[in-house]
Amino acid sequence: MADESTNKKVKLTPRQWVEKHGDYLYNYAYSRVQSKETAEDLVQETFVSAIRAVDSFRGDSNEITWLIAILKRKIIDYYRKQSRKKETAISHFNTPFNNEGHLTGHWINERVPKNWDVKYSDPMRQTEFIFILEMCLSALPAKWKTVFVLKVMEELKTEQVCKEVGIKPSNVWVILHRAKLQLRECIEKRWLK
Amino acid sequence: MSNLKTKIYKGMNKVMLDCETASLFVAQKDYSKLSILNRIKLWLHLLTCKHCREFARQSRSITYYMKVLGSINENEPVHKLSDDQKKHIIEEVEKQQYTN
Repeated sequence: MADESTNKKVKLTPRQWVEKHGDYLYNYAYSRVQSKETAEDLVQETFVSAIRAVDSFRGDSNEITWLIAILKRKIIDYYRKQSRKKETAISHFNTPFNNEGHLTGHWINERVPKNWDVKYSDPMRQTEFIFILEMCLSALPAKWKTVFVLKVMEELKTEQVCKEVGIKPSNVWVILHRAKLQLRECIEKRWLK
Repeated sequence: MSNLKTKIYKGMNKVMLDCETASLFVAQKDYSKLSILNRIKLWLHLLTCKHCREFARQSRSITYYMKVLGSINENEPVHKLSDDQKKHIIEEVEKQQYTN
């Protein structure tokens, strides 16, 4: 009797899976990796894993929730690989603060934050803001981007971020701080044009 | 007199943050707990520094729109797979379906 729901479960073909959930997963992946090729690969890997494991899918959670859970794992794996790559040292950061004289630690005059007024913009403008944000996000060094997305978008705990990326908690904050300063400047240049 | 001035100045420096530290605290405050003492220091700094107030506002905007960007919209995905991409994925999935 209990098996009734299992028996009813219809196995979808790859084509049906992709037609049904492809865009949704792709959109989810793209907003996190900002690359068409990577997002496509991740979606593909997700479907492969899903189809192989379809018998273990109990149907007690929604199909899409299950797929997203698989995709999320793939995205984190991707981030981890990215952040292990040797790249720009943290010290290459171009600080917007004075580092000498009596104004040490103060904003450099030409680089002070300006008023954005995003919240009071119309929806079209807000969409534009998200577009700019996405573009500036993709311009961050891979490791910064990973830390930033995991912490801000996925809202992982600091310890989890450390574990995934393999850095110390104090570095998470240094990176978040710098990523935010760099993002902010990149956005401002384009947003207040 | 000048001795007292120096003392006051030094005392002030202990309480007052520079913008660099203040902006770090802003970033920390958005995502985790900042100690009470540091909260007070930050608050004092923001009272007197309009640039850092602006930074704090921008920081909140970035956080907010990052979440909008990450929240999935089932009805209207912004980024869609092209037909070629779909075809490619279907082929690959069919190919790999039974291999290990």
